[in-house]
Amino acid sequence: MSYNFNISPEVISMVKQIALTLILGYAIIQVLVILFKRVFFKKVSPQSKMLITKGIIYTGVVIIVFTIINILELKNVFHTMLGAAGVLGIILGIASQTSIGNIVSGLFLISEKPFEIGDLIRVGEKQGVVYAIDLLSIKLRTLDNLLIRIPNQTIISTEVVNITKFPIRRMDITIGVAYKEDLKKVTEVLRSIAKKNPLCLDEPEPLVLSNTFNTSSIDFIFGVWFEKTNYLQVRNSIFQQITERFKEEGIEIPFPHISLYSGEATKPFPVTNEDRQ
Amino acid sequence: MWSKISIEQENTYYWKLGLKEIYLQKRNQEWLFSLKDLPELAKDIICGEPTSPLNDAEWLTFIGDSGNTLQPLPAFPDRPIVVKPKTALKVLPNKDVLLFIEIPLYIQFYSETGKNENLIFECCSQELSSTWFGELDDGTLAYSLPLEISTAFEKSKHASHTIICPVRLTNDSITTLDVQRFLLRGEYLTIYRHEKDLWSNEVKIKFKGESEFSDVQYVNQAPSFVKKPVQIATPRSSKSTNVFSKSFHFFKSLTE
Repeated sequence: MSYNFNISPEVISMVKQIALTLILGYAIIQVLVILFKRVFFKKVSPQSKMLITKGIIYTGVVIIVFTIINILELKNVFHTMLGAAGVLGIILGIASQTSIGNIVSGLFLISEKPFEIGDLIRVGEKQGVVYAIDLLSIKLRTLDNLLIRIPNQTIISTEVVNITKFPIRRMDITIGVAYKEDLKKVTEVLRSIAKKNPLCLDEPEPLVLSNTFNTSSIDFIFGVWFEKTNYLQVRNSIFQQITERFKEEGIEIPFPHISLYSGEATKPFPVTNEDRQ
Repeated sequence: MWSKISIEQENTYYWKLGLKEIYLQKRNQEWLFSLKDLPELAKDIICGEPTSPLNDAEWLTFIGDSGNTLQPLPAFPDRPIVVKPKTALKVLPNKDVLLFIEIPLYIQFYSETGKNENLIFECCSQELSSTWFGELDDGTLAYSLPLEISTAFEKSKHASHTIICPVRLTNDSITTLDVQRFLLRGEYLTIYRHEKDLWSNEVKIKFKGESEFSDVQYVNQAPSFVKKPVQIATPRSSKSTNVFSKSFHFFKSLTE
């Protein structure tokens, strides 16, 4: 059994042109992206890099598609398709409602710029570094190196906290001290801890606030300002220094405890032995 | 102190300045540095062989240089300095005052010559605490320098590990200027040597009123009152000598 394929020279020429368009188009897009990255590598922020790279790729793909339509001489088909676009649009719209919502939300996110690539953000209970802002979703790399994909629509309708937007941050630590302690002394010790820590900033001044009378302690809020990149070092060193200095100064950090009295605070709780036979 | 040194392999070299002790060794193509903190300020800068053996040293290693010539040079800190007068400093309207600010130096070690690309290592002579100058969302990370500011240079009180920066403050406004703090950008300053002292070029700050930008000018030559100055270090970064910036922050006008 033999098959005889008769492919006309026009078809072969068309296939060749399409292949050439695809290869050349792909190569040109890649070259443009590489050139852009090399020339503007240091000058442009990661966010702008991503936006411009995607702009180049999407524009390139659209040009390739239109060139192929032109080669295939599908202008008439294309015009018919445009005529049917209204109907098609409704069908596509219903079918891809969520995706279109995500794309539109993505455009709002890019224009509003609540965060950029590399920012540490918190969305609901999830926290991570913005890894990519794509057409349909943003991707976060969590601090334990997991990837979280959050649809753009969710981001638009949820409260987003950008932790690293500004160059400096304040770390608030709640510290409980025993009721017997001299609050003035505690305030002074906390201030001197902040002053002696080289990672804490002199200005803005550290916050020392006597906050609440708790069940077993008087709670202070101790807030130190630091450069946003030093979070871990500051947290570790401040905790260590607080425990060390409190031990040196004899300041007690109490644990929760309950005192039981049998009516008079000054007398011990009465205990009697009962002989049971 | 600030001249080239020919380094012999395996020998230990020693510097003592401010609150730091620096040890150096050369092993084949490696430069090794070790730092120690001093309990109190050293009176003079000492350069030579270590007086006591260095035990349990933690060495910082810089590999890839086969040269044996070392050029130590002084430098300004790697961040701007926020100068905070310890005692109230008030400048009357339409008057100016010359202040002598002593800034703890950084020591830089270059291989062969003091070109940027030859820098091996640098360290401060005294740790300065960090501070923020400006608004919370837009400002500059700087070092804080609380100082007793003097309007006359007293050689006897001058700390050996500091660079003296003459700052001319001009109050061009109609109110008394209460100086709480001001920013000095050491990166634009050249360093000159006169005998054992280190001087920088003069900085002129003109205050024109709270609502206007202050005019900060870095004069491009050694102070006129320093005789026969020798330039020993260039600025960390080159920038125009006339920088308009809001150098003052939180001024209080005493009179309205």
